[in-house]
This record gives sequence, C-alpha cells and structure tokens, in this order.
Amino acid sequence: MTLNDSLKALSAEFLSSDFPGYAVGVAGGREYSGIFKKAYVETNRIAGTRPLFQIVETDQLSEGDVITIESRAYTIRVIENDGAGMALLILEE
Amino acid sequence: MKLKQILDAIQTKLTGLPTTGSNVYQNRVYPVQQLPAINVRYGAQRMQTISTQINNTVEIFIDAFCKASESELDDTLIKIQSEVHAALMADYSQGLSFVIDTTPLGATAPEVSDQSETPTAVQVFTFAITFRHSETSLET
Repeated sequence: MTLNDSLKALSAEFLSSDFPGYAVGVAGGREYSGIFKKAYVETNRIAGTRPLFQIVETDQLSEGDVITIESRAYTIRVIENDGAGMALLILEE
Repeated sequence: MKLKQILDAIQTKLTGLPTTGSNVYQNRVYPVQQLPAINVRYGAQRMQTISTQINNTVEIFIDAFCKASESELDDTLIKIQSEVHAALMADYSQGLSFVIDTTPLGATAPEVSDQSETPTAVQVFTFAITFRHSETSLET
C-alpha cells in the first residue's frame, strides 16, 4: 500500500454517516460519500449559496461531470486535491 | 420631494420589463435575492444657478444583477441594458413636469463572480437626469 493509499484510507475513516453534513453523491453510476456544505454567500451584492462536497480523492471524477447530491444535480467546476487524500469539489447548480 | 419622485418614476418605468419583470428595487444596502433584478439609486448632483432657479443634474445608477450559466451571463446583461435604455429614453422627462432632460452616460464593465452556486454578474448603467427647482428650495 502506497502512502497515498494509506492517506485515502485514513480520510475515508472520517467520512462516517454520523458526521455533520454527511451525504452521498452519485455520479456516473458510482456513489461517493462526503461532507456536503452549502453555506450562504454574498457576491456582487447578490445573495446565494456556495455548494462544496469534500470526498476522498478519486480519479473517477473530472471537472464538468454531474454529481447528484440530496436529489439535486450539480456540475463539478473545480476539483481541489489537498495532497493528503481528500478532494474538495466546488459545485455549480 | 423632487428627487424621490424621479427615483420612483424610474422604478415604475423599469417595472415589468421582459427580462427583470417586477424585480426592481431602490436599495443601497441589502443583497438581492430574486434575480435577474434591477436596482435604482442616485449619485452625485451638479447644480447650475440660472436666475432664480437651479438646474440640478443628478446621476442615476441602474444596477443590473443576474445569475446564470457562464455562457448566458453576457446575453442577460445585454438584454437588461437594452430594455433599460429603451424604457428611460422613451420620454426624456420621465413623465415629470420639472425634469428637463435625460442623458445616458454609459455602463461599467460587467463584474462576474464564480463564488455562488451559479455564476453571478452585476453591471451599472448611468444616466444623468436634469431637473429644475427654485434657488431657495429643492422642492419647488
């Protein structure tokens, strides 16, 4: 097992269903467990939200893919890998 | 209050446009939630005394707000600008007897952001409205 695999396995341990914000996203027929956040934001004096999904790093998802979380479809705009086994997906409705 | 009457007249003229509908506000502080939207506010005033009267030219700012996919942002802003321009330039008096002229001054470059669930953009259209009041009162 490589260091990266170990980090991914360790990260996955934190993604339990009792963690606040836990959600399962579905993309391309696969399920991804993660932490879903949709905080209020204000940009250009426009009220909105900022949907983010933190998952274990994967090479199965690409920018532009559609992922469904809590019955709503989002387009993955940016994938930010943190180098420690986790990835933050910046989503667009 | 003549300035308030001008702002209200503009808000009325801009209400019901095809793109922004009834989402027309006079709001300097709070973020807008119903989009696309228009906000009406005023800026600096220049006064020129002519005998016992003053010609007061006030900047009117029309903020256009929209939230759309990246490819649709420009189209939406262009439509809003076109509709606002036509609505305000159809009658230079804005339906008010004390308004002398309405002049379009231009528009800012669109400011775009990707920090929301859908891309957002705002653009500001500026008009100059000249109205007349007495030397001793802004209201007569």
